[in-house]
Amino acid sequence: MKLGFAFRLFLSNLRSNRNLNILSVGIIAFSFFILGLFMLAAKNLELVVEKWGEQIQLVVFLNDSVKGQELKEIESRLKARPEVQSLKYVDQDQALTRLKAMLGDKAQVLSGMERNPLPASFEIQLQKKYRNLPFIENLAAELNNPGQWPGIEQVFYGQRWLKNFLSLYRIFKVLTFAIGGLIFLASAFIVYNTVKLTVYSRREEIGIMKLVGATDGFIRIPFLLEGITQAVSASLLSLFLLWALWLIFHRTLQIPFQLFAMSGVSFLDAPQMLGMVAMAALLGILGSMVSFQEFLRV
Amino acid sequence: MIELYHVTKRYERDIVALSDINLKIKKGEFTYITGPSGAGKTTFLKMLFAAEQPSSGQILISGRNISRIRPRDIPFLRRQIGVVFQDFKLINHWTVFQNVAFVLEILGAGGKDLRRTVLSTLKRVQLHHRIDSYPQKLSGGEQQRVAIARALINQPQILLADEPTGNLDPDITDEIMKLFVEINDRGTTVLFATHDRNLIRAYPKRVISLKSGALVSDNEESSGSLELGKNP
Repeated sequence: MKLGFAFRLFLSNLRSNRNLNILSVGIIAFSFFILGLFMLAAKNLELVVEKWGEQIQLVVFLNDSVKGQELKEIESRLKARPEVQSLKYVDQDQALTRLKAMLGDKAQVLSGMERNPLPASFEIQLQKKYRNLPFIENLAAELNNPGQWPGIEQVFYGQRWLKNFLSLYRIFKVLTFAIGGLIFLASAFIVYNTVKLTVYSRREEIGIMKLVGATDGFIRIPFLLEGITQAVSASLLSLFLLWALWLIFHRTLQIPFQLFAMSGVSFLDAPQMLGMVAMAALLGILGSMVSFQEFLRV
Repeated sequence: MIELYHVTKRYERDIVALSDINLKIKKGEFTYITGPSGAGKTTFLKMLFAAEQPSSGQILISGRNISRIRPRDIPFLRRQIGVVFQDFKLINHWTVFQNVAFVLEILGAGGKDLRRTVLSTLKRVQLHHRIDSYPQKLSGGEQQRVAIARALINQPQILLADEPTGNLDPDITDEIMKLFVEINDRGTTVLFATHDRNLIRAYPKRVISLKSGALVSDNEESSGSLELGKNP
């Protein structure tokens, strides 16, 4: 195959169709920019929602009689559970201190008590994949069973809050998927058609090449290269624009980077960016291949 | 060299572009295909370089049946046939050199040999001084000579021309016509479609007349091969 010539042809095409190519890259970059903007927003919103998710916890209240060896045994049995990410013991005194802090000025209502009525407890942070209602309900039911777990008085997991949160999370996921899917399809459609237009504008040239005996494969290579170049450079341009917008967003809000990093809000990560560029390349190939087949029947 | 047996071309159901054409064109012959617009001249030529396939009948070129040629074999057929069109069909953002050299690039040629061959072919059509010009900077006659150079560079045995002088004024027409005759003198079989009676009178050769897709006359016996290559 005469790749060298095909490559020279591709370069000469880029030069001679400069305006059309710039226009195409602009259109494709714009559609990728919208897609990237959505990806960025969805990613960071998800981070925020996941932060809320970390507040999902089970509180296991213990009988006042549980002490020493028995306490250690409950702790190690809980730790051994696959659902448990981390565990925190809150003794009766700590519980009272917390309550006092929460009551603030009104803490004197507690002064009349002869003894601390609050139970000691374990606060259980769950592994991410177990943060859903059926798992939590099962675990709570099991822990509530005195036969299996002697020493546990009651299990609390904020049922109502949890139900609301989880349905909100589900709606968020579905919406992200639906809107993301639509934007993806729209940009794929735009990229595909823009590349197709480039080939269409050159159908006469393609026809002439065929008339003098060029094979489809021979003609296709420069067009493929052109389609890929258009789409890939447009996706890089859109990432650059997104990054610029991201920086402006930082400056305007006067938020130092460290704080951003701490709150978990971040720019698209490497796989996402690579994914966008790869998708661009694929659409470039697809657009030029399909339009090529359409305009080649000479 | 070129043989047609009962060749019919139908577009859709009832539009007949060519009907039951039978003829033979010998190697080295110069043949006019003539007839009014819509007679089937272009369709006739198109079938010879496989831009169209006959609905029925057989077409043989150098003994090879191309009536049912596979799409992937078409480029290889076209490399043996030069074609010149009324509208030149040059790529406007390529220079004269690039337009002509493309035919050889397809075949994998390159380097100094390529440039030398292009230059000598352009000399043949007297355009070597415009080698780096773009087609749109050339006159109609010059553009047609570029197209002829492109058709010739691969030294085809057959040269097809579809109204190649249709867009040119009489002086230039004469110039281009002489070029075709000269090409034919060197042994290339030329099929020249035209409806210009004056041209045929000025350069008498074998004339095949078509009307509404049918072959109405062929003066093969009277003028054909006897006058081959002789200028009036």
